[in-house]
Amino acid sequence: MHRSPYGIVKNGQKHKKLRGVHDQNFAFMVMAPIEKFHKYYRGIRETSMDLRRNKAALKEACDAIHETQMMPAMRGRLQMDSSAYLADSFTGLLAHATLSTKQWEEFYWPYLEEYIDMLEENNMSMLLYCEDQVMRFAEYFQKYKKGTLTMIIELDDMAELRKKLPNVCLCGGMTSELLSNGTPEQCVDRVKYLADTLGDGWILSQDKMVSFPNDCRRENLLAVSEYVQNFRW
Amino acid sequence: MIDLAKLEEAMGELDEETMVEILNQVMAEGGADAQAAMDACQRGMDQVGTYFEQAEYYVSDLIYAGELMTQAVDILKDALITGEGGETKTQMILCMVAGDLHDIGKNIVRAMLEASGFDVIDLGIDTPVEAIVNKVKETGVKIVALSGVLTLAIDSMKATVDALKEAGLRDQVKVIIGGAPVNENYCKIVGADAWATNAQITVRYCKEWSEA
Repeated sequence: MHRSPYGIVKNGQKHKKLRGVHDQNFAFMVMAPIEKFHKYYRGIRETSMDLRRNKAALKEACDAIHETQMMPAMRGRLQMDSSAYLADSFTGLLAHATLSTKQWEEFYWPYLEEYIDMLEENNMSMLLYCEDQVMRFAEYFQKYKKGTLTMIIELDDMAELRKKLPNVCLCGGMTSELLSNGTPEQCVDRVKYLADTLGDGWILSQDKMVSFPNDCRRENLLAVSEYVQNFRW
Repeated sequence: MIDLAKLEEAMGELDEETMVEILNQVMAEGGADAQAAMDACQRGMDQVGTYFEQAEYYVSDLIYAGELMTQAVDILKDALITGEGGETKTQMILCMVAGDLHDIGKNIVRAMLEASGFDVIDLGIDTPVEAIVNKVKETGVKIVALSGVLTLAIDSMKATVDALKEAGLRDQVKVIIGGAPVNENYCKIVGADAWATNAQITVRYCKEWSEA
């Protein structure tokens, strides 16, 4: 374990030594400052109030977090060896799901853009966990070269998103609805459809975190696993 | 003289300062215009809904709009209680189903429903199936709105609909499910009458049902 500007996080390298495996697929976390207000400081409701009642103060606070915490941390992280990970960095998008486009452009994108720009300039990558939908902001991510961004998708239509973001590796597509209520055949058909539709630049994953016993039937998971095990392009 | 058009516009534009100023003026003048002011706020909320459909506003704006409506009711409540009042409201039940505590979406829906004239019985979060069934029996409501964010909410929604059937109440109520995991297929699995992923759609269904 080590302390980062974002709190105590597990060190993947140490885990690898201790347990022989990585339990993280990214080397370090970054976060648009407003996410901190959503997740930790104020909550979704109060941040929504602040966006109207204390907009200037909120913006000032976001700028301060960006300059004093995020950017120094980013500069430090750019030097680290993260070659053992799927992605160099990780960010979780939650606040975007509540923001209007205008608010996104003022409170979210300028910060995130700066982080991704820095990563791309250094040939590094970012894994983005996109809660809810990210489609309405897809155009902002179109400028990045292939290999920079991987998005874990929850509610977006993967095929439509692929059309808008041919440059981004998409992760998801297997619905928990199908895993929990479909048949093994239906689940395998879904994998075939996803492979045909999304092809290269796609990672098979469930759409939501499978957290509860009824989120997935054993036989469905086995059928998908077997198909994937034997899958060849 | 109360400028109701200005009040309606202030609500629609989420201009808190102007809205509060006009509502305080209503009360300073004795509260006779309280119901008219409330109606103006509700029309303003309709404009908020339109802005949401046009993607001008998003979820955080709806949360803020809900806060403004609550504030408006707070300011006017004494005059509304003693005044003539408006037309009879349709009573309905709204809650987070068993196992689910994520109530931000529910609270937005509640604010929008109340702004549309519904008397919402909010049973809160993590609501046991029996509590919903008992409240339907007790009140005789015709609409039940079940909200959930987690995937486990689907099971609780289904359990609720099944319990309403068992209690012989299913035919007297319309059930709408809402929240991140719901879709048309889940609506069928649950046995609900409708599904929604935003407040506007929920309000539209509830209005249709209350007017039928």
